[in-house]
Amino acid sequence: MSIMCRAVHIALPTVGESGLTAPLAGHVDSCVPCRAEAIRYRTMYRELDGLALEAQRAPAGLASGVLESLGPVAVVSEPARRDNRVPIAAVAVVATAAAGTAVLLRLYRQRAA
Amino acid sequence: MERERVEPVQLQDLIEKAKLGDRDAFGELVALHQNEVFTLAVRLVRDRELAADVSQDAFIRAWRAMPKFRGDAKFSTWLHRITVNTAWTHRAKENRVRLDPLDAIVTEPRAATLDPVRAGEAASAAPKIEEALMELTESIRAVVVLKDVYGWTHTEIADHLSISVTAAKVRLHRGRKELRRLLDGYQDGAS
Repeated sequence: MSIMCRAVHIALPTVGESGLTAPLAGHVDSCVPCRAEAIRYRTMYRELDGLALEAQRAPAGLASGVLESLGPVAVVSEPARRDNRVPIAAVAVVATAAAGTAVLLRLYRQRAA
Repeated sequence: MERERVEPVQLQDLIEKAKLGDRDAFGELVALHQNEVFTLAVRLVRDRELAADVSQDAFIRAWRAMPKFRGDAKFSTWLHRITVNTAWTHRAKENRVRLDPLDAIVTEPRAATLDPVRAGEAASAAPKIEEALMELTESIRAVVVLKDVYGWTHTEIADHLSISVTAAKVRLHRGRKELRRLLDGYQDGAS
């Protein structure tokens, strides 16, 4: 196997036939084993692509099982969610400030004592 | 059971209703997409029983996330992403992988997008290629399926499988080579 043949064998599973560089594509045109290899890959890629059109039948009861398992959906309208952000952020800031003050006071008292 | 074809407007209507918590509308969406979600799940986890669990969980996750669906991607693409994430969560929990006999798998064409010529070619090749895919290891098969069947980008695959883009490319290269070798074996066996 020549260096060019090896390069083709590496390139085909990486970029496919259409992605071959000009020198490799030229080699494939003139080398019978490489051309055969390119055709095998082309067929394989087409078959894989064709699988996108195939669907297996889902087991009976899948849809009903899903519907039985659905909990309530937490539907929150967009404006309401935005409105909630301010109070939550305010509570977080106040809580952090209170905790910080408590720690500082404790340290101050310890030093004073 | 053949589902009747649903126009994009009707689909959009079902999605909008489901986003507002309409269970019947969501049930319709499940009925419309259950085969393709299940198919993707089987291709990822191989075991049909586990794939059914994955599909069910994926739809439940989708229901919870419905209010967040903005329509940037197609609804089916969004469901596929949820299915891949769910399958990978299950994969982490389950170590068992069983191979069901392939003749037990009932295959039917997706009528809504069927091109008769392409579908004919695909149907004749599907059992062999599907069988070969199932022989790949799970982590390699997932990359090949997502790239070559569903057309995901390397970046999307890397993000959803929690691997690097380089790892995705390496697995794809290995997977395609192995698949090519397996298909050759089937051909030799048939002749």
